[in-house]
Amino acid sequence: MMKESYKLARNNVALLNLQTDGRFRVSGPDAEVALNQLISVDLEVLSFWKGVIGLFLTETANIMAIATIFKCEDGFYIFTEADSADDLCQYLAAEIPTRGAVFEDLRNSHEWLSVLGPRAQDVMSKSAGEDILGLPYLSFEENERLGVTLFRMGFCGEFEYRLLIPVDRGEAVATLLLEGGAEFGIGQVSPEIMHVLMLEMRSLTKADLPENSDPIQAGLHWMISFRKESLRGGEVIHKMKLAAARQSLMLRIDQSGCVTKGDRLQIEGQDVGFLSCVVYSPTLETDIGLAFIDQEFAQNGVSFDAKGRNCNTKAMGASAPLFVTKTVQSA
Amino acid sequence: MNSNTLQEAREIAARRRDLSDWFKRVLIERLSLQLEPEEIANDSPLFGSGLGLDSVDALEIAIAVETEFGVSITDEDLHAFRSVNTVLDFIEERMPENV
Repeated sequence: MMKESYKLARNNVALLNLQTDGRFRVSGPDAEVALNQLISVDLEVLSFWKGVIGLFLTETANIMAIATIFKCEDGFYIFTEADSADDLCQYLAAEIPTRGAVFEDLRNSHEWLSVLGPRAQDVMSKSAGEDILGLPYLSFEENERLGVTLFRMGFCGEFEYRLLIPVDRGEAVATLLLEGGAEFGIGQVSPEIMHVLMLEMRSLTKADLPENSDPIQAGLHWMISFRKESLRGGEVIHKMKLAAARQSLMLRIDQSGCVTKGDRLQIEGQDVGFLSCVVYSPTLETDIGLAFIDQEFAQNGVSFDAKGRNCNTKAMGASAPLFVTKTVQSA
Repeated sequence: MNSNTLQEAREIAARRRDLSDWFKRVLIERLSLQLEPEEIANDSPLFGSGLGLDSVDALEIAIAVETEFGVSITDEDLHAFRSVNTVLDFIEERMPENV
């Protein structure tokens, strides 16, 4: 079932209800100042109707949540994966009001759907109008035809549109997308496939990382505005970037089903790292994983002995994204 | 897939690190990025949400790779320009001494 869902997303187009993902809003005249104090990117340079991917960090630069933030005229939309939704909600609900802005949790009031795959543009241009073909990556619009807020975003190397829909209209919009997308082979699939699709492109969620990870060892440098004044956790980040003990590395694992999260990686019997997540990639027909490796060995091309609880296998550092998708090929 | 000895692993990693450092310096200099090399991760996406480069920047990178390594690049090869690491893979595969 998972394999069929995966194929639909990689070869045609899939509809996913991302019900458990975090979706929040921060508004009011002080919204930008308030949110900018908490996020790793500089929202002052973000244009209206555009988005950016950033991190919510603790004072000691531990990753609390990976989030996508979109700027609208009266505030911001904030989206995060299910694994950090509750923590981020709690954090923002406590911090934002003390900074003079208004926080809303949209999880009960709005559905959050994804249309994802090489044919996603076809489905959306038919359902939401051809104008959406001009919607750039990381931007959004109020789509009158569907009566939704329509976001162009995505982390799977495919065309992807996300729809924020008032909850009373969610089912009607989903039916419309499925009916309109039938000619393009659309099908509704479980959001569980999202993790595999994302990890193949090295789009990480908090659950892929060990407890108390920092963005430098996680290789998420590009989600940080290093020159931002009062960067939360900035002192630690600037020290860490010069002297991180470990570095994350994507791995292709020789034998699937052998190793899992937490298993050790060795060279000549010496522990040099561990796996922080492992999934099966249907495209590569093998397991892939994210590992945290001692700095001196954390490079592509190095091979490791992966020590599973029941069997051992080999693993090799690999470049991300792990392959070129149909969407990228066609673009 | 063969295992490395510790010595081999150190050598492979050091070679790759040198190449990576070079490429990051080229990116920063040629594209006037307001970053230090250690502020770019090897798997950072080059375009879109990552370093935010565009098609003109891609051309500049292609010229730099051709000039420094004698590796010619066609339009089809631009698929390789997804992250620092994928460009490094491309260079390592196509360097004249490896052909």
